[in-house]
Amino acid sequence: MFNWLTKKLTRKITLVLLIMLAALSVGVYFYTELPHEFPAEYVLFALGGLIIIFLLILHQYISRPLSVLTKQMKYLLTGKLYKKIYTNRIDEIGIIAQFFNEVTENLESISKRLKDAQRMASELEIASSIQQTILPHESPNIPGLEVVAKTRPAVEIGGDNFDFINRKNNTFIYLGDVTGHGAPSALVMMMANTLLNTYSEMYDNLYDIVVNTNRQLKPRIKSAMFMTMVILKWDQNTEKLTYLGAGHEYILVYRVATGVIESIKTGGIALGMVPDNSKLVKEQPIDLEKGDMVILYTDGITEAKNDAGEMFGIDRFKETLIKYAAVYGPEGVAHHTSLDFSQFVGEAEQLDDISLIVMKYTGKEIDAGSAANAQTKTTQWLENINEN
Amino acid sequence: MSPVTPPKVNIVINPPDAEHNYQTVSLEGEIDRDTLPSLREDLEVFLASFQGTNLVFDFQDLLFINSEGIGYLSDIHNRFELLNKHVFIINTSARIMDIFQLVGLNQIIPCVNSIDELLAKIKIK
Repeated sequence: MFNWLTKKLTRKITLVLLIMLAALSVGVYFYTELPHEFPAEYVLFALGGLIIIFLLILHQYISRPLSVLTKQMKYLLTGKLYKKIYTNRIDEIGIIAQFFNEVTENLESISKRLKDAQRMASELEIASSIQQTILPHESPNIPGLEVVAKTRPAVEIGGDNFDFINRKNNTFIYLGDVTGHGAPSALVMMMANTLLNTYSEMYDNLYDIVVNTNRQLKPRIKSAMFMTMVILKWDQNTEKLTYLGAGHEYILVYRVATGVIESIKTGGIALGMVPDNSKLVKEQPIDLEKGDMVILYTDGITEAKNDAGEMFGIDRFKETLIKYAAVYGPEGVAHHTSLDFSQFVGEAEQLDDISLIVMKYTGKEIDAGSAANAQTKTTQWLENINEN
Repeated sequence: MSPVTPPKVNIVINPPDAEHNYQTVSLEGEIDRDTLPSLREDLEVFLASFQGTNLVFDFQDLLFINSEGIGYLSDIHNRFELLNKHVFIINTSARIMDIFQLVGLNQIIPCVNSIDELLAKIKIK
């Protein structure tokens, strides 16, 4: 009964009015029916008093709480410091106060999340710029080889990584792909890059570089993470190319004499999968004729799907490479392949990092045409012909 | 633009083979970025209750597995090794076997064609 009365303002006002009306009726009854000696003005005073009491009750229970509410709402809307409204009331004013408190709590929570998101975005931007400083911005000039690399992470930072490391007469070229993408992959990628650079200063063979890198990497990464990699060593003196696979995709070799692509299984085991990979990896040669091209890639290319859910696939990738390798040099092959790839994928979301390295064995005595084309080549993945 | 059917993965847990001391779990469908979280969640419940020594993954109806899925299998293998338990893979399609060979997973988890071949080639204790 009490709750029924207190839930609605109108009921409360009606109750007060009824009580006052009852008091007035009793007063009138006593004044008209019973003998009395006080003048009629007293009744008027009493009536005035009742009206004042009624107005005071209205002010105390309605106007003042509403004023407090509107004041805090104004503060909220004008960006000033507002306060929570504490009340035990369960009527309309109590509901509005509760609503105000919940709205402000939600706003504070959203504001905090926005700030957190801004902070994370800012940190990601920093991480991305650190990663960008590690990845080569331009394809290098390597005596005997014309090299072009293109990469694009799926999000701000990625797990695909590559580098061109010059040590005396050797150039080490590696392409790695850490499981997944984003910040965890980027951290692993940066560790791997540091280790490969460090060990390439200590050893001049791929086997020792990779075995030691794996030994250091394994205890530092999560059990479910690993990095597939293929690393090449180009001996500038002998013009011999060797490779060592760590569970990566095929090495594709375009043979200029036959116009076909040979797929070489890289073998080995991904870095970080076992504590000791020394019995599982092996450095092996790739015999090249002048004009042959070596293509390295990550599975972000072959496993990319279009809107219909169809994969780009290794066969389509090889066909595309053959089509352009017959006509263009590495830059043209990389560029036109990336265009065909983008056309195939269309508007579908890029789910994985994509990287492509195309190398051509030119020999030290490169022809005049190639020399003229020896300009800076960005490693950014290009989307359309106008970007080149 | 045609609609894309969301990839799905199913786990079928077969009863343990007490005679040969192994239990087979079939993974069906596609293991990729979308399906891996739910697969991991469901499989971890089973792995936590797994009392046997030898776990055999049957990939007869597995259509696709990405590198993160392979990483998860490698993780299960690593955890099992610490407990002196073993993981095996059977019935892998040529395409998926190719991926396993590329990454080198087959060098740490034995992959064979059938359960009979597994029992014949590898001594399960």
